[in-house]
Amino acid sequence: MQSIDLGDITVHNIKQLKKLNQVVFPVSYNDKFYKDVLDLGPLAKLAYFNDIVVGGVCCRIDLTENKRRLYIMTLGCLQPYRKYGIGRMLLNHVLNYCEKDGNFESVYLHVQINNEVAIEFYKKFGFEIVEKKEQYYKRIEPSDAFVLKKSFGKK
Amino acid sequence: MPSSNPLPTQEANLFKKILRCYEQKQYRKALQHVKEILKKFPDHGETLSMKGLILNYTNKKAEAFECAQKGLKNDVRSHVCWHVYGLLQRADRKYDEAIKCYRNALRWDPENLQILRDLSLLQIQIRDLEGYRDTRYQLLQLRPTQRVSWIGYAMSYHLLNDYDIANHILEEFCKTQPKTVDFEMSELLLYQNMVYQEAGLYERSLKHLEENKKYILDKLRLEEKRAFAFIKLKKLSEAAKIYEDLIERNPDNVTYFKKLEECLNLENDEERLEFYKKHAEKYPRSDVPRKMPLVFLNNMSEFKLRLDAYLKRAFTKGIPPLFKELKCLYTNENKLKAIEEKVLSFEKNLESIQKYSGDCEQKESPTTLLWVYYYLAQHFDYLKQTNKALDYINKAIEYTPTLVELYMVKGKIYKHAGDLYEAVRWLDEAQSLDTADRFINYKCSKYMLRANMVKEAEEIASKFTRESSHPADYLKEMQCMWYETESANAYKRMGKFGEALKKCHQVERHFQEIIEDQFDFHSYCMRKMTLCSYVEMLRLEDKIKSHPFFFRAAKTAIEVYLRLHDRPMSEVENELNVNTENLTPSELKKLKNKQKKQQLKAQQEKEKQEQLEQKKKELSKQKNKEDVDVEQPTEEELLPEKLERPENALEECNRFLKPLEEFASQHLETHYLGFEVYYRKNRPLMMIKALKKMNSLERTVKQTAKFHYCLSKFLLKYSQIKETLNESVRAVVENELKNLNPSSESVEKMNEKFFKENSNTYESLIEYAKVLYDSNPSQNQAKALDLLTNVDAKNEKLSISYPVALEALTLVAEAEYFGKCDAKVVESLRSKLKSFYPIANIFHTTEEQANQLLSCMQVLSINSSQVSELTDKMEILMNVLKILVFFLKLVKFSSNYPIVLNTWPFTNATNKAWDILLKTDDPLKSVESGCSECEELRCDGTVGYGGSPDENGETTLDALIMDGRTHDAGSVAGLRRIKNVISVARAVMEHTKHTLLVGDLATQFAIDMGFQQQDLHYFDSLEKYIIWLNNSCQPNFRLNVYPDPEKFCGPYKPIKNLNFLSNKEKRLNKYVSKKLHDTIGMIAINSYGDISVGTSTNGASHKIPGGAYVDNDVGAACGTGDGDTLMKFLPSYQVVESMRRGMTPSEATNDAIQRIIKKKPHFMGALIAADKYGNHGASCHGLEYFEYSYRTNQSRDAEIGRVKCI
Ligand SMILES: CC(C)(COP(=O)(O)OP(=O)(O)OC[C@H]1O[C@@H](n2cnc3c(N)ncnc32)[C@H](O)[C@@H]1OP(=O)(O)O)[C@@H](O)C(=O)NCCC(=O)NCCS
Repeated sequence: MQSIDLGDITVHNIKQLKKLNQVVFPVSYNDKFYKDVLDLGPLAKLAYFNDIVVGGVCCRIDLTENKRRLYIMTLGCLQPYRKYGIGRMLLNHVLNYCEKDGNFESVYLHVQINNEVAIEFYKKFGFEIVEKKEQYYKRIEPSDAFVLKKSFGKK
Repeated sequence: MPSSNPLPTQEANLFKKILRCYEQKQYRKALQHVKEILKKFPDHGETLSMKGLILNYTNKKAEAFECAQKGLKNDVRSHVCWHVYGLLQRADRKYDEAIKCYRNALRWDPENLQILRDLSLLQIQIRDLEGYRDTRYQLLQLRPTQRVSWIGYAMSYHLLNDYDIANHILEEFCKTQPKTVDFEMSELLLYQNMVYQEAGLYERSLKHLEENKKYILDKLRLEEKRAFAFIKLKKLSEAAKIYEDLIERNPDNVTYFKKLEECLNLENDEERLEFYKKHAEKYPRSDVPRKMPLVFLNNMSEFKLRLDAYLKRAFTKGIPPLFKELKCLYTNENKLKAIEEKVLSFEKNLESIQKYSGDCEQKESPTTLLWVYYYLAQHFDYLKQTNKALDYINKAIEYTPTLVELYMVKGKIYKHAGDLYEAVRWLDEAQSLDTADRFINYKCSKYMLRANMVKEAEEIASKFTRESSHPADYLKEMQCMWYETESANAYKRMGKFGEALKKCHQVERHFQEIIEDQFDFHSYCMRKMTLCSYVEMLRLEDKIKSHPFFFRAAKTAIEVYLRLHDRPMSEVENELNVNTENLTPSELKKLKNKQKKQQLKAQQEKEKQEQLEQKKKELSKQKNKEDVDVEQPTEEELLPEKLERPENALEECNRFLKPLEEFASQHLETHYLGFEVYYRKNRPLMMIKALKKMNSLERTVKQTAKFHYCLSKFLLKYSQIKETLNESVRAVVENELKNLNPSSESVEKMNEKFFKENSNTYESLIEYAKVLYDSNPSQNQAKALDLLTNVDAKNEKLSISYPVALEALTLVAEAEYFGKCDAKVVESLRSKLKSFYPIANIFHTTEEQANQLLSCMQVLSINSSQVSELTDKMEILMNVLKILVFFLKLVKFSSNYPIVLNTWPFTNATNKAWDILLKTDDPLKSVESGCSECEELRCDGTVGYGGSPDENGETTLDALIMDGRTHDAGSVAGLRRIKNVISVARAVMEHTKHTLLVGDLATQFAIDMGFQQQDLHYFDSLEKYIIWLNNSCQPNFRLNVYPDPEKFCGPYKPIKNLNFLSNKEKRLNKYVSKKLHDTIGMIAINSYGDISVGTSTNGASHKIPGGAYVDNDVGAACGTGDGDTLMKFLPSYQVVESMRRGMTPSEATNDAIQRIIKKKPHFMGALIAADKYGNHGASCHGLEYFEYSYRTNQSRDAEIGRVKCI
């Protein structure tokens, strides 16, 4: 008895995303983050396991360095619901979005250097560690981060 | 149908036109024709009647009646006049009168179809069934070809239970009808069958159904009717077959299963189990055959087996209401234990191996454990093990914090434990997680009402109400009765009895409306042929007031009226007098002051209400000028002040009690309420009747106790009034008492016996104590109270439910059933009950409760600025517990008043105000004279006459003054040619009903009041004006006009199609500088702590100075600076409200300025504030420093306060 679906984020359920992020990520996001999420459209999604919100993803389009890249701000899943394909579904949604769009140079994100599970997870989908940023995180230890990136070979 | 008073042709034609216009709702035109006829024939009856009818439609009721009456008088033999008069009576809901009129009309025109139809509608509406039958007969005679004539006639017999004739008519009629396959034929056949079945003619019913099978479109109904008939005829196997089919159609229908079981004549549990097993297999998705065995099985090993399968299925599937489904099994101790054991073992195994048990093959998905936690939380909540329940729900929340239901259960657990504030908090959390869910929204606002947070509840509920109307109005319009009843209960708890009654009456009116609403269906259903539903509706309406919604509202209303009878409102208000002997003189003074203020407030409120009513009346008068079709008679407005001061509270109960006695006589509570009313009315026979009813009903423990109480009360009373009763009454009573009190014991003995038999429940103890006290108040008070207080929380045998504990406290502390008692006694009862319900708010001290409320409010999702009235709420809590005295001693504050405070360092004005304050102790006078002084001296060149000119070069003045004692205010704006502007403002406050007068009106008012006119083109000002003109009119306050106001002088014209965003910055008055500021603002507090504020300006613009506000219970604030910006934020109000919530004056002003600069970063201005203790503070923005002056009796001259700006 398992069903997994993705759903939109709206003003009505945005607080569920907040609850989720509060327990999944060590860093906390401010009110502005959640306000902006409402405008992200398909770049932000909730994942439902048997009709309960258990995961979510939020990305934004990054136009710095004269490139058009997709940046994954958060992607996560509640602890008891991991390894059921939720992460896969969320990431596939992001990758499909990039593919459909066709104009992204790459997709990238930051991961705390000790987060082996996440690193393994992303590697499985073709991401590579391209850089180590020291002192990236302000209030958590270790404060260094890897930049994980997957290029699309165009532009 | 000639009138007895015919018109000549020309007018007769006009009259026809009137009729036509009326039918087409062209009322104005119709009235014109009326006028033409009446010019020549002013006494023409029918024309006058028509005029009345039309006027009624345009909502001029009184005039309409007058016309119709006159018309009738002039022509009593006209059917038109009678018909019209009947219609008016009908619209006024005087149905009996209307029927009489119609009958009279028919005397002059016996075959008038329209009148006959109208008559029949009224007759069915008031259930004059015989009359209805006769009228339908006439209609049939007149229109034998119409379908409706026949059916209506048949139905009239059906409703009279005369089935033979009804059937006969229907059969005759159906013979004439060709059979067609359509909805109407189908409905007719089903109706005919309904009559057969109600007549008990099942053979005929079956035959009829067989014959017409293909014409009946509602197959489900057809089969159900057949099965029903078969059962009645004891042809069970036929019935069983049909039920099997019906189950096939809908395997979730419990009734079908039960009926089938009945038909199959199952002997014992084994057979039944076998039966359900078979069906469970056949219908793998249906819950019913799986659950039913759990209910009837007594064999525990079999039960456990079934339970195991049932639970596993449910947890895996994730059925949120599982607990509700199984709650019915909990009355069986063994089943309860079995369930607990089972679910706990699931929990253990799922946590360790993710399976229900070691021998399961499949791993469960993570949601299974979640639902197990969720179930266990509810399970332990049911068992009142609050801590365990909370542990489980917290575990669940940690496991999956996104599931909304979890927070709802968490709130529920707190609610059951009596912590209503914490309950609100979690429901609000749930609500905020899914704001699109109406159910959660409803739950949340209900919880808020339970915690007496009426405002907040409305705020939450308003998320689902129409934006254009006030939420309370909308909810009323939608007949949202749970909301009104819960509000009524909240108001009742808060002692706002008028508001409570208003809500109860609203509910009562809804029921009345529902009954009225039938009217439209009488003709509609006949036309549309929905006959079965129509008859069902009529039957439902007959007993609509048996609905629980009515019961709840009626109960609350009666309880409130009883309370108002025992202690009428004026007395209630004086309750603050309790224990005044314990007060120090100064506390007493404050208390007195407070009472005075409350009285004043009440009076003002009354006046305000009256004004409002006046306005409403005027408004509706205006409306009447237009042609509006309003059929509803206007209802009397429900005014709380009036409602809570009824002339005879007991008589008012009737409206609620009578329907309960008629429709809810199976509830013991009904007769308990009845007894309480009759007891106070001194009606022994009615009391006996109520007692008899109670005695005849089955009773719970609590109800037995109530019965015991009522009987004892009666006996006590009877022994007093016995002598005064007449012989026959006494005989009846004595006779009935033989049954009610067979051993004819004394009350004392009866009470002792009752105690012996029932001492293990608290509800019985309460009633015992009440009777004990009543039988000898002076001697037994201490004993009764002691009995309630000295209970042992560790005594396992004694159970106290939360509502009963609450009842005990209310009885002692609020209702003072046992007379006035020492605060210590209340205190010890409270703390004792707390040992039973440690987290229930109500058993904590007032201070603790206030803190609990405060911390709840702070985390609510709704804007905290709307969450006001905190002090009011604290007051209510205090009232409930009657320990105001204690509280006053607790709150020790240092008072710094009297004090005078002034926005700018004009020390002479400050000193002047101080002198007056010392002399008169009148803060209002002090403020007035301080501001006047400034106007006179033209402090700083901007206040008073000859200050900054407006664009006409003429100086205009603004001022506002407000009295904290009365919460009255007066203000003027744009005042010209008058010097003493603050005094004019005061005159507005004292001599008009207005708060603001503007411009020439203000000037004229001032002149009328005797103020002197003067030329305010003072030299300094004229000079300034010329300089300003020469400087291309810079600075000015124009925006979005051309020519460009930043470069040129006017006249200006507005620019349309503005892009406001780009102008956002410009909207700020950049040029407001220290010299060009707005006002002087002053606060004065006298030796009693009464506060007034005033502010006076010549205004950089002609607006009222944006800021001065006072609330005598809190403090005052006023502002200075950019008045236009101040106007947009009402910061003075904000400051006072913040202080109310506990901020210091400095914090509050700081907070208010922050709020402004968040939106208007270039704002320049300052705020000063003083709380009621005389502490003061200030904040500013846009300058480097801000200086203000103040004076207290600490110094001999005004002092300067200086703050650094934000
Ligand atoms: C990383 C994360 C999103 C994975 O979510 P998930 O729902 O468990 O992932 P999936 O079930 O879809 O797994 C997809 C693949 O990732 C790999 N993977 C995931 N978790 C793994 C683990 N604990 N160990 C090894 N591999 C793992 C698996 O190989 C899996 O492939 P498979 O299905 O073929 O075995 C989740 O662990 C998480 O929320 N972590 C915390 C948040 C975080 O750190 N996010 C990254 C920063 S944005």
